[in-house]
Amino acid sequence: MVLEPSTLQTVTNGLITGSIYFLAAVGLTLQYQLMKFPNLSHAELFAVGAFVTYLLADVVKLGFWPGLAFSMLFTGGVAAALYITVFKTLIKRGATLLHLIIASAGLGILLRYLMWEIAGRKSYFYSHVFSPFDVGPVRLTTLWLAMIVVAVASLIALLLFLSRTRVGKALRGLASNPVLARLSGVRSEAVIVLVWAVSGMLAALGGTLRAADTRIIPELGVEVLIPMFAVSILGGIGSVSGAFAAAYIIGLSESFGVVALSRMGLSTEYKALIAFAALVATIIVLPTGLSSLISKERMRRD
Amino acid sequence: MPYDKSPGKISRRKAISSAAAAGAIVGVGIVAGLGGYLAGASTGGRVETATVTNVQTQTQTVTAPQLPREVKIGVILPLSGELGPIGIKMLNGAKLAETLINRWGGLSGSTVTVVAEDSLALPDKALDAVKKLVEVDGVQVIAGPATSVEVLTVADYATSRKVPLISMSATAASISRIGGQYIFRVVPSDAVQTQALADLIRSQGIRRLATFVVSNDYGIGIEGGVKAQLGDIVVLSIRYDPAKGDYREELSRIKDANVDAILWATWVESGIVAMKQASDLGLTNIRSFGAEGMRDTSFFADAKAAEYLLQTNMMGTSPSAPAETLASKQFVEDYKREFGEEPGLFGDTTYDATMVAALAIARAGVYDGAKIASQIKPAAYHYVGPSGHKMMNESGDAVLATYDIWRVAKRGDEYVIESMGSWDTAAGLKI
Repeated sequence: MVLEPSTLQTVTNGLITGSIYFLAAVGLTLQYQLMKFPNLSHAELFAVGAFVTYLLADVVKLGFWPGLAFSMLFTGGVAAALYITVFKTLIKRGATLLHLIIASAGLGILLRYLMWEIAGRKSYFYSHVFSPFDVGPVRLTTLWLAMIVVAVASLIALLLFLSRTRVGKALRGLASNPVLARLSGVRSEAVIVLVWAVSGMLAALGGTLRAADTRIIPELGVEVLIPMFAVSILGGIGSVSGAFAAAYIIGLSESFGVVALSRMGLSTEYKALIAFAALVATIIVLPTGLSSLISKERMRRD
Repeated sequence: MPYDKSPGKISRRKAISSAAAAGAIVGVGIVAGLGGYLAGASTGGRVETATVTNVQTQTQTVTAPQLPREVKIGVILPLSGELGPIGIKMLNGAKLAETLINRWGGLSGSTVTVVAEDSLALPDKALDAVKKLVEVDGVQVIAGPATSVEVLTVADYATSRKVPLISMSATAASISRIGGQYIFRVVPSDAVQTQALADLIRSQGIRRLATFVVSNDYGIGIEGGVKAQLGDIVVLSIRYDPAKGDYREELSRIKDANVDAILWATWVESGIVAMKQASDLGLTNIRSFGAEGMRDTSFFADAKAAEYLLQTNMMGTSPSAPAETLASKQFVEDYKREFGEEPGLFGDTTYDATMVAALAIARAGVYDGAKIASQIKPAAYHYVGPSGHKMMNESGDAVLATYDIWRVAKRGDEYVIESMGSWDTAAGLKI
């Protein structure tokens, strides 16, 4: 790739795309660490968060950022409530991995249709305007910058939380050896509920930013479902920093995919194909994902 | 374990399954009865008494075919989903045709009923809708579906069941290949519209053009047609996936290609997303052109997208008769009276498709798909509606192509779409 001024824009575009993928995937990956099942309904919280932000920001008129903050709290509560009412009950009654996956898929459909029922099949837009500005040859808007900053800040906050706080350490203990952790006095239920709440908050954050960039519709989550799983798998399921690296690999591959496809005179709608080719190639070389390269955070998977 | 094998549970499950079986038997009975009723209703017999000169009275039973009391016209439109806002207004066009025909006394005494089905503009849903209309409702002629992909998907089924379809808005050039026997449309093929678009783009002095189209028959048809007309002027073609929601890099490519204008052929929601991102990327000192799908005030739902269309002086074509014909004036008047608002995009063609279907039924004199199909072209030949004269060629496409030339403008605080000229097969471009 020849370095041209436009290459910087392509990198920026890839980082913006990757930031949203990270915010979507990190909640899933945190949940997986503890629960050992992929929660397919997680993507729907993306849309739930975006709608709640709309309600608070544009209907109650709190403004975009305060609306987003309250929406994160609310969606975190929704995620925790879903765990307590649906998944905890199922696990208590002896549900297997398959039961939990199917239940989460069903719950996702339920949530989406509920949103369709309430919001109708139309799109909504936040009234908040994000202004564009130039940094050298690169065009950014306050929203795009916010996406990247928020993704990086979330990564740092999560890593500090996992390594420095007692709850974070308890979480890691619980993930790697649940029995030992419980014997050492870790209150496992409290930790699990907290993790679900945090995943819900991150979903509301990512969903709202994505909705501000596009539009608010109930399908918001489904649209990122595939990249979300791709990032989780590529990052090594359960690894936060792995997901971060993987999100940017997929985001940048999509951006450079568009450049490559349009240079070759091919249709750019196949950009996802390039990203998934990158995914497949990485998995062949590193079957356990990028996290196996990042030894510090390496998890025992059982 | 989740599976409780206690005897109590099993007996309850048995009870449920036997209840379900009983329910199913009752259900089959109802369906069979309904089928019998429908079959009975469709074979109308008539007893006629004739007096013959030889003073003797003869009674003979003539089974002359006639229309059932209620004549159904199926309508398939996206009533929800991405095109839902447009589809709901289009349905009013069909309802207006139904109301007027019945007010005028129906079709030789039979009342016309419009049976609407929602396709969500999705091909598989459209196929379900056609099957439901034909097999459950016994419909023999359908106005719709609205989009080209849907028409192409349901065409085989409709042809095999001999039920004619008259689309009100499917404009893909590829439909001409399968049309003419059971597939018709009251709009001309995009192959003609792209001539009008190309004339418009040339008249504005555009030297370098990029196309940004949704990756389906509609978008690719527009892209192909314009490329065929404008040749080297088209320097970059982008096809996009409407579910992707992230077109920054595609638009950065367009910015990089130094174009004078973008030709848009998008759907509303994904189009708004692309325009917001184009605006944010600073792709603003160029011009915008659009095919008929872009003539939609729904694009103004987002302030940034609306401002972008105004900034780039969006102009385009849309199939239509110029607003000033007697038929179109009357249509707008009737529509406003019935629904209390202005008709939307394709309201007139939906009205015309429904009217042509009704006239074909009347000409056929019998409610039978194959006979109705054979009368659609003759009916269309004799029909002038709000969208113009609907004469069709051998492929079942409307021949007379008249396009409105429109642009986005701002009146006071409100974004509007205003007509600024016309293009037709005979006179060419007039601005």
